[in-house]
Amino acid sequence: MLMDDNTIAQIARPGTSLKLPGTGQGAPSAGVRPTTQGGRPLSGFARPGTQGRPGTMEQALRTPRTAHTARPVTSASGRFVRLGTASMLSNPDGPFINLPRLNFTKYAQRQTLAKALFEYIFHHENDVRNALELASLATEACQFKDWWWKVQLGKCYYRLGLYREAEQQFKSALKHQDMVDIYLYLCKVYTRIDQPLTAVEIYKQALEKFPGETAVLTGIARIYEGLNDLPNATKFYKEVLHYDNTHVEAIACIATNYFYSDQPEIALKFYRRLLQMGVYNTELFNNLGLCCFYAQQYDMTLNCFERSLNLSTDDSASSDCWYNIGHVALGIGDMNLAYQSFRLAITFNNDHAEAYNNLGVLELRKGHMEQARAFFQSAQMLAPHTYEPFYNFAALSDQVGDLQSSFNNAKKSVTNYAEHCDSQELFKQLRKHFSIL
Amino acid sequence: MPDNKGTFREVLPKQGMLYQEDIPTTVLCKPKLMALKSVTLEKLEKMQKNAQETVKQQELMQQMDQGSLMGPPQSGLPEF
Amino acid sequence: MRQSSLCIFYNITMNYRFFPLQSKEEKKADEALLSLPTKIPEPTLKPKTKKAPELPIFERRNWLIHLHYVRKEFNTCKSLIKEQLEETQGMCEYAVYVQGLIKRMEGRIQESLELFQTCSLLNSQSTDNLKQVARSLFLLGRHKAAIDVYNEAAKLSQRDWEVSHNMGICYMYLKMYDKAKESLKHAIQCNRHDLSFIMLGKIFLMEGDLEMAIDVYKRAVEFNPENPELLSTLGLLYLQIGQTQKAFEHLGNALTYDPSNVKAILAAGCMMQQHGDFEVALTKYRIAAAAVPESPPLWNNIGMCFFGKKKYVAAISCLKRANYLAPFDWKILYNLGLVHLTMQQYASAFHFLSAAINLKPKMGQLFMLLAVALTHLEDPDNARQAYEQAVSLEQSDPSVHLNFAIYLYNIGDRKAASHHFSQFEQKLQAQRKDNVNVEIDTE
Repeated sequence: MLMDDNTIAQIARPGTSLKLPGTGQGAPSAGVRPTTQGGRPLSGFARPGTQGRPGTMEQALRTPRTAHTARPVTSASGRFVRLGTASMLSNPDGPFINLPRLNFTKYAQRQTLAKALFEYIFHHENDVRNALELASLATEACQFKDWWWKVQLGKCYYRLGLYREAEQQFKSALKHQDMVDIYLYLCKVYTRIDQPLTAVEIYKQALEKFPGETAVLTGIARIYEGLNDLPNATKFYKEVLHYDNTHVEAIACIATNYFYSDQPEIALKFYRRLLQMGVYNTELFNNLGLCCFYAQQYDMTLNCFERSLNLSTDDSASSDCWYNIGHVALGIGDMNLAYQSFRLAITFNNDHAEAYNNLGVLELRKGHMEQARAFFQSAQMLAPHTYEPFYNFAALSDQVGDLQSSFNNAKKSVTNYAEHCDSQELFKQLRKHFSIL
Repeated sequence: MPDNKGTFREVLPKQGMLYQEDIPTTVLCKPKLMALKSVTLEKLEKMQKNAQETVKQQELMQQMDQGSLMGPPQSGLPEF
Repeated sequence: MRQSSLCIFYNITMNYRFFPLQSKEEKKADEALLSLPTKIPEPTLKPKTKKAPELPIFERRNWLIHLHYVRKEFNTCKSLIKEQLEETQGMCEYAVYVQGLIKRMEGRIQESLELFQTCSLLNSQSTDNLKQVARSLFLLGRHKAAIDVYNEAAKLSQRDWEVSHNMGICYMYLKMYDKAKESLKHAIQCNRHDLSFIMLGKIFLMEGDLEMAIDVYKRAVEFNPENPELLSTLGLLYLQIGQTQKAFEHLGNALTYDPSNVKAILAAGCMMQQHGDFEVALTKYRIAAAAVPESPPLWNNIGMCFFGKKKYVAAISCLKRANYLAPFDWKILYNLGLVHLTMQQYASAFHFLSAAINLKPKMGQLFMLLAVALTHLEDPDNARQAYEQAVSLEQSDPSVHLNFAIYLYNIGDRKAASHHFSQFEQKLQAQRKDNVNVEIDTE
């Protein structure tokens, strides 16, 4: 996160921070399951505000501004900026309510009206400062006895990035009224200031009061997923399913987990369930296609991908779909189809780093060193968080005797994925060369 | 042998292919399951898209209005 | 480990050779310092400088730089070097030299090359300076230039292991193998270093000369009987020429010195597996899997262990993991095909086998398995074609003819069947050594 003044410690202990996820005991490694830029495992479900955001200034500048990644890189979450779009639209008859003209003190006295007014300002106008002013006047007017205003104050503080103040308000509101919502908000604050373990603690308190509440259970599962503790994440998602067997997020995340732990057949069952529930989109068919292929249900595979491509509305999804078709082609040993598919992935999304890397591998198999090198380099530029293009480049350079490049790339690869044995081995050998006097 | 009508079954190798040595090769990026979108997210994306469209159209309208007041904005060289 | 400590020792002695400027007292002080764990305050130097005032000012703090360098305190080292270079207007050779070494360790070869070039300008009589220049060129992949500089260095000191060894490696990268061998042999005469043996052996392997490679490694093991790397490589070579007894002996030795040596485990496990000793092989593989959890060959072998134990589901999941990690690997696909055939899942078997054939189109046994799959998928025409391919591609394996004969017999073509069966018997006679399949069929 950039320009973030809410950071407390620069380096947290592994497993206690969402920024530095643990290596994950018993979870599939980065060599099996792709990771996001922050080094977390790819999730099975996209939620507002959880999609990858660039971590450093360099990454932010380098990151291509596609529809999926063009997020503001300041502390303010991307979602709120989007929600505000309603206020961007000017009404031909002028604004419905002219905020600067309102006398907040007057309205704060009239509780019922004030609540409606607050919601209008906060949600429709997206004017957090005025909303905050109204809320603080109103809470004073009722002698700090109405939990509702405290929650609203907390929401305002949260949006303004005043997390400690938000925490106070939510905690105080909880004293008046035990409500799931308030617990959820409070945990959101803790997640935001990177205290996932405290958040889990609070969620668990909420569970004692509201056993079986799926929103709370999901919250816990999400945090474990973010911490790369997939066994625990799956445990809680399964519990969610116990109470609500049509919970899309839980099904999707469990399925993803099964797929990347060598059980595509089970993943397929879960995705089929989503299909039965009426989910019908490009992502689901793409995943069904992959699962079918790896579960050896070949007759269905191409059908699924075909449908996925037909349903796709944006280029980035089509690109991912072609990328996966490329993998199917590799699986049946059809190198030409694989090459064409990866090419198409790049045509749809010029920044598809994985496709570049795989094209490099294919070129190398044909003995085209220079092309391979160029592809690996493109992949490195686009995805500096991966290890594959760096390792491949290092191995290639090592073969032709360019030990300097090999050294630098192997180093990068080891940094990005410390457990990769081949990278380690190569790096060890190179270091010998370099430290000999 | 399960067959009985005087047919023989093929003889399959018992060993298969084994490796004596691990020679490192290039690594591929792995297949990527796509994250399913929550209904909220889909709705938000749709809202944003629509809003952007509307804003664009409004701007266009404004430009047209201004354009009709001040004459065509770019018709050849500016006059002195 | 032993090797690397040897290396360090060697390096330290080299440094002393390089800087004979220190007085005796200085040297003693240095040795005393090296043995001390903590930093000695600088004032101790004062009485010494009084005693030895003839010490040239340029080299005044070399000992300190050296001390920090061998302790890997590079930041202190760098600031000291900077001071010293400012004091001497960049004329202090040792400071420049160590700076070059540090830059190299940081992976900045071009800069370190320039520094070493400065060194050899400052002192053109030093072999070490030349060797470092050459080494930098080597690391940058400029092998020809490196050889030229090494030749210069060789003029200054004749019997230098390092010069000959590195020259050999440069020649190897330039694919001038004869020259490379000559240099490496010369290097071995100067100093029987493991590395030179390993490189020499590698060159013979690149030329496909197994016998000579074995010879080289054998000598290396004589001088270094406890190096697991050498032992396992030699074991593998014996395995390749079919001397299983010797192979097993060496691999076993490698494992005694390093029980988790992945290379030795894989090779030894493979041999155990071939003798049907699946349990022992699996225990060995388990050790290796902890060290290299993403190795496709390892998972392949583990899968085939389960196959041998008739645990087909486990076999398939291991093989599929191997295939996921290495989709280009036809051997894994072959095995997947084989296991699925054994489980009578012919459609899946067909899929894996045809993928394998796409990757490896000239392999008779693959076509044979494909034919079996096709037979059971009730496609007799294509099955026959596949058999014909298999027979034409595979010369030695008798089972191809046997299966073709069985196929022909089953579809009622007795004449052709007996023809292939006699071919099978001929082939079997030819390699009577292993009569594995005989007990199943007699017509």
